[in-house]
Amino acid sequence: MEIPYTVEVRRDTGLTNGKIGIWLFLASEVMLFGALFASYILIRTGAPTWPRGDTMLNVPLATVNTIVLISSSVTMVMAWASLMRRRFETYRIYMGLTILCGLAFLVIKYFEYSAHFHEGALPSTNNFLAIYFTLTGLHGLHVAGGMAVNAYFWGPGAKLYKTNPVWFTNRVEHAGLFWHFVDLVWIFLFPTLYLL
Amino acid sequence: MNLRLVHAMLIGFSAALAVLFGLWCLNRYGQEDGVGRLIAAIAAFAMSFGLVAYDRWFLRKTRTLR
Repeated sequence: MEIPYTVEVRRDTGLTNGKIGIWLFLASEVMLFGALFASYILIRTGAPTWPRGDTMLNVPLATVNTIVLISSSVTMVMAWASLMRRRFETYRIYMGLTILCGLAFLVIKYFEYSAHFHEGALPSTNNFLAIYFTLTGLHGLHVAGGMAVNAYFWGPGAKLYKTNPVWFTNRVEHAGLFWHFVDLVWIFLFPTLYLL
Repeated sequence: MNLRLVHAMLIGFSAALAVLFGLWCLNRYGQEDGVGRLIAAIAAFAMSFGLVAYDRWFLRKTRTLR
């Protein structure tokens, strides 16, 4: 059975079904992270004292991670732009760089977490660390998920390009939208947890 | 909204974050010894300008990708 509206847009929505699907999914993700951000605000405003983020967390490492994620959004959009211009080999290079940036982010995060655990700073230590580990842990899972999707489109999923390049380009765009959402969440997480 | 516009928006937010980070570094510089924070603040402001310039370049270069 053929999947409808993968390449051509539906007349009633003006979009392909894939794009409607990814935007609905991202809307649910906004609600998930929005609820956690709201919890953070409520816990913080209700607490008699609240530690400053930079006294407990490693700001230089998080800054490097921010630069890594912003760079990955650039390589991701370049991967999609390469496909739009029918340059498959360039796409492979940019997509590979995006995956490497995601991996670098997770490795840096691992070192950050390791240092916290080594110092005995656990989620059970206080409310700040509890919300810190919850938000950054969930975000890290999203980075890992996005990397898995990107790796699929870099590797076995790229076979689709030979038979239906437009559909494949649309799929990479949807993966790119998710990746940009993950980056956007970090752009809000970084100042909220580390700086304010 | 396609990936092109979402990317441009993300870079805009990144530039705003770089400004915020630069202000934070300046604030910390006023409270601590050493020039590390001052250098970080200058780098953050430069990064912010760089991101805005990149955003303009990207939107111009990808005008035909829709």
